[in-house]
Amino acid sequence: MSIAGGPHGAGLPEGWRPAADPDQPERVLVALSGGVDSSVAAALLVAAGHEVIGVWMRLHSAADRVDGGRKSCCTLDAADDARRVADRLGIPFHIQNLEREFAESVLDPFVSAYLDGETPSPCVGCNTAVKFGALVGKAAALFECDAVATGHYARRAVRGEGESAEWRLRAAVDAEKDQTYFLHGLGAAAIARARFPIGGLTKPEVREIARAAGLPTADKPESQEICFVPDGDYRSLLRDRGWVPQPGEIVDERGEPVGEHGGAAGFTVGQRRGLGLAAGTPRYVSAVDPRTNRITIGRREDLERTSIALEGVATPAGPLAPGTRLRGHARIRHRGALAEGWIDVPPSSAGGRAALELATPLWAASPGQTVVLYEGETLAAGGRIARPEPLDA
Amino acid sequence: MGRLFLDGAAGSPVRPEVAARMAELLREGVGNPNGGHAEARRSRAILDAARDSIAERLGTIAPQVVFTGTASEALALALGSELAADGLLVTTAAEHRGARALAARHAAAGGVVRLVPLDREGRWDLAAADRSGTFANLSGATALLALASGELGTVQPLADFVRAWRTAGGGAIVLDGVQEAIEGPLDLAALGVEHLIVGSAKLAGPVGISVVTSAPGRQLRPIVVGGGQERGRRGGTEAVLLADALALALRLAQEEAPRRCPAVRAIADRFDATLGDPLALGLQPTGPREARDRLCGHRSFAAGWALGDDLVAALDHEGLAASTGSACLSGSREPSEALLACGFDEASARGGLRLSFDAHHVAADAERAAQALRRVGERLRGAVAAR
Repeated sequence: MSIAGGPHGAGLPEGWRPAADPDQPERVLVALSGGVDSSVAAALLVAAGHEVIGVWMRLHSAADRVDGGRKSCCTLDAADDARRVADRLGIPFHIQNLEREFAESVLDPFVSAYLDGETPSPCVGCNTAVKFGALVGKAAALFECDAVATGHYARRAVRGEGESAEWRLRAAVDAEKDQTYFLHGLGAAAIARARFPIGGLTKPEVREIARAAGLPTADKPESQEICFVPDGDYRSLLRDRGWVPQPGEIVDERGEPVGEHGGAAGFTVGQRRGLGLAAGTPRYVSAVDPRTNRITIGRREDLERTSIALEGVATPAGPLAPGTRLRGHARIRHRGALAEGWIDVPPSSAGGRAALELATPLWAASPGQTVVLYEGETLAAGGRIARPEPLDA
Repeated sequence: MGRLFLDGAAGSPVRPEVAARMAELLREGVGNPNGGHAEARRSRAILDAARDSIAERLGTIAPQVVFTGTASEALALALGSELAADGLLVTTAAEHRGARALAARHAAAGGVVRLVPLDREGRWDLAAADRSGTFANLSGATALLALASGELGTVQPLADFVRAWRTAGGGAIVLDGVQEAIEGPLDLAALGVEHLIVGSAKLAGPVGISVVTSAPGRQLRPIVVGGGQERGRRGGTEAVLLADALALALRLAQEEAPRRCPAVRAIADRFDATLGDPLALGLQPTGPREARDRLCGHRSFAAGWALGDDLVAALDHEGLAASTGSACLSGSREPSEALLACGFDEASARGGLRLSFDAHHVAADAERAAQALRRVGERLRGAVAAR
């Protein structure tokens, strides 16, 4: 993976400056996951003299599981770890139930995306609608907090002053950990209220601070899984939600049948495993069509794209105006390769539909997947990869 | 401004007399009452005195007093001794979670559970129970009931129930007297039940000690077997220090009850007066309307526009310790079974809030509580309206 020329170390675009967190003590709600990153975020806020209130978000029924010390991110054990951290820091702690909001803006769209042959980005919806949506509302209503902090690796940038200030996310110092990709849906108001205390630190530094502060989560392993699919098997979640897999055709790039699959929603663009094809040149899923229940496969190079149709493209200030061209470096998956290019919003664009044109190809662009475009270190715009044509066409 | 604790129904702060007595016993040395030496005999004497005192106050004989760790354990011990695996259990939706869990386990194991219906105020609706066949074919049935609901504050018409139950040939009644014990005399014989459970924490005694008192002749089947402690009905070394504290807390509570209740009612009335019409704040009062039907310091509400946990969190932020009344550790959205059984809709049943006033509160506390609840209610409702 090459990140040369990307957001890291590229500096801020003309007119933008780093957005420092307020020096004056403020009341901040911190979303504690039970992991080391949010623990340290809380510890840093406390050390800086802010009034900090810790919450753990109960998002789905996995919270009822006790995982026998396996330390998944969303179980009762994680809630316990969060509580211990809050206790260690001497801050109040509450469990906030956001199950309904999570179901509406993350879980249900996740399931429908797969059933529509798309690859969802659930963390984006969760950050936009739950953590920096519903939770921000609750922070204000319950605790009169204006600011919400998380343990995300991200920073903020600002241009202008006061009411007319513009806000953007800025890539974290630790390029390996940068999470701005997942945060791209935050609007300017949310970024203004967001606090990312660890955005200027590397992971080893975060762990070091946690150890020095005696936080019980200091040496807790990373959680990489999708939190509501703890065993990594999203297909069983789809089945729980009513998906009845139907066998269908696998075709090659010329449309010739080459095999059979067990249900299109169980496949993702770029997937290689589970195709049940004879050995030979590796083949990858290049398209999933739920209408015909057909999967198309191709050679690795068949999945390279220099032109990708987008939808829902927006900046923190709102949708891009038709006729806009925005240049930068694009990425179509978290920590994925960056490619130089631009987003073109055609004069007739609706629904944030736009075209991403790239100087070098990106691999395995799946409809539904999140796309972001960086201008220097700042995240200028984001959206989703569109289907080649609308589903209802 | 300091904290204001309004969750005595979940466990009151240990009263100073009890704390002092515990400290004294710890200093003097109290330990295992089982042994052939003077030290054990001294501890045994303290335990015996506690048992005698509790037996006398709760209307049974000392050998029928068994100490347990918690009221949940006491309920499980008494119920497990009476209810056959395929037996009929009569209980209600207004029970403590420990009792609800026992009923759920019984049903899951193939046993039959009948619920006594509740009226809007959380009271057992015995006429409706009669009509729906709750009292039909009760031979060998066991009843598991709380004399007062900790969630709704409703003091139940036990005498009427016992009459109907006996007429219908029902078996043993296991009565949870945890919430009621601080309110006045509790006499097992006078109440006409087979087992009565009382816990220490709600009596301003320490957490970690409860008691099953049983009518003479009733046998308990141990859950934990051990070295013959508690006459073979609960294994494990007796917690002499805690048993002594429970006996003292019970004695003090019962001696003070005639004075406590009017004083606590006056504090709660002051809260009502300061709060104004709860409906105007979007808070539906739950539990009994009439003070005489309700635990003295109990106030409870249902908000259809917020989760009970959110109200509790916002009040905590204001310095107040309150409760949903049906606390669940993992913050689930499950509606309160008791409120549903009273006829509240699901949204309201998710928005339960309970405040309990106690003898250590003063009028200013009641006013502060009402003002904080007004503020929180207005803020949260405003936020809901703004969405």
